[in-house]
Amino acid sequence: MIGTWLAAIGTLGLMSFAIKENPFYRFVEHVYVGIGAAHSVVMGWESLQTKAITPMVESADYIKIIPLIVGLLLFARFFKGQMWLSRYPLAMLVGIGTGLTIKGTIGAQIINQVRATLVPLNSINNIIIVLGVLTVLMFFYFTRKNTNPLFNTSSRIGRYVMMIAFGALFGNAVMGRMSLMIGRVQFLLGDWLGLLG
Amino acid sequence: MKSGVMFQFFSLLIVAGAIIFFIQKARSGTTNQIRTIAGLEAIEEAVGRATEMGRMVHFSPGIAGLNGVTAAQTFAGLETLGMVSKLVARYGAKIFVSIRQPIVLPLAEEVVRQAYMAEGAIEAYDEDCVQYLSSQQFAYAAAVMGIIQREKAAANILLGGFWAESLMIAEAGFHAGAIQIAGSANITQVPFFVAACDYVLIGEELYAAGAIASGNPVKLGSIAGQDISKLYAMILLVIGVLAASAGSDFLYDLMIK
Repeated sequence: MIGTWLAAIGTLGLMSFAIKENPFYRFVEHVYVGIGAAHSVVMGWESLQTKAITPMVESADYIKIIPLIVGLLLFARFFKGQMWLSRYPLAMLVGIGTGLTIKGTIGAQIINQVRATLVPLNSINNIIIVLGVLTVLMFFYFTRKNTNPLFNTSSRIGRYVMMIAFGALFGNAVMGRMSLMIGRVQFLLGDWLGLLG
Repeated sequence: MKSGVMFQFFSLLIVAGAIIFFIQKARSGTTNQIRTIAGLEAIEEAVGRATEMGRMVHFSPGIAGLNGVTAAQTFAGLETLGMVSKLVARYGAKIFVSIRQPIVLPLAEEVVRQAYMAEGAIEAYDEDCVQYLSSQQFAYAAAVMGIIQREKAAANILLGGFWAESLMIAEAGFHAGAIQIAGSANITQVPFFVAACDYVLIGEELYAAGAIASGNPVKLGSIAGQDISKLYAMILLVIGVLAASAGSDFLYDLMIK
């Protein structure tokens, strides 16, 4: 009951932004940000407990001390003169993240997409697909002069192709947002006010 | 060798080889000509406008972190932040950088501080101008919307990885009357930026903008190398489509070897 009331007040507060920025919105915004911060702290602590502290205490898995120390090094930035230490965990995060990302990228983002476009030019649809992909690729070809007529024409066509695609994406997303909006209105009228049968 | 990845492996060698070659060329002093990007050129106008109006420039490097496939967007955003901060420091304007990922905060602070130092205006650097708001996606969006409206931002620059919050933030900027420059490699969000912003950097333009903004010839060399990978994809496409039209699936089959 209290949860429903709080959720309804929060929903109305955030929706009030549609009129203008107001004290009600500001209050809900600050509560939302505060709860978000608290939630992050709790989740962080839980993660620390389950992944490091508990295995070390209960299973004597002392190897977990290494990521713990690396993580603690991030706080070195608060100590003047020791700031350089915080760069190591950052470098590890970026390096490992990038390395893991490479796996599968060539296949998923280049080869599979090119493969899906290898269609015979025997229908209008296929011709549009092939020309669309080629002209959009031309648009994203950066190392060229602005005066190159071939690139300029194909880039312009590529831009039109993208705008058509964006229009379709926009329409899809608006439909999705409308269903979210309907969900909130159903919550307000049904769960909160009990007006819906 | 494991089957099904041979073609991928050779493609990786070609793409990586081209990028390394152009980076080395750039290191040896060759400069790469990159086409102009309208959104990037409009940044100076946006900062100038904010200076004249005495209102702040809001900048967001997106909500992505520093690892995974979306990290490149955050780095491109941070490169551009360096350029924006230099302009802000030069003109004596105000900047506010909103951060969603705690791990991005120290980098963004460092970028802005370095920019002020480079412009010889370190005394004007405000430590509170870069702020972590919330790790929760929509709490972050709500906070940014409120700040843009309350401070009446004159320029709203959103360059990085954005998801469902893109339109919310862009709409808040539109209602505040800010000149808006946005860019993201998340193609599903670009339509919202196109609808609500004055200038939009589409997809890879964000990375090119980051390289141009950094002024680093090595990064520009990397962009030139990536162009070769696009050329490679175009060549494969033309050969494969012509072959498919002639009834041959040799390239289609080769790609799964």
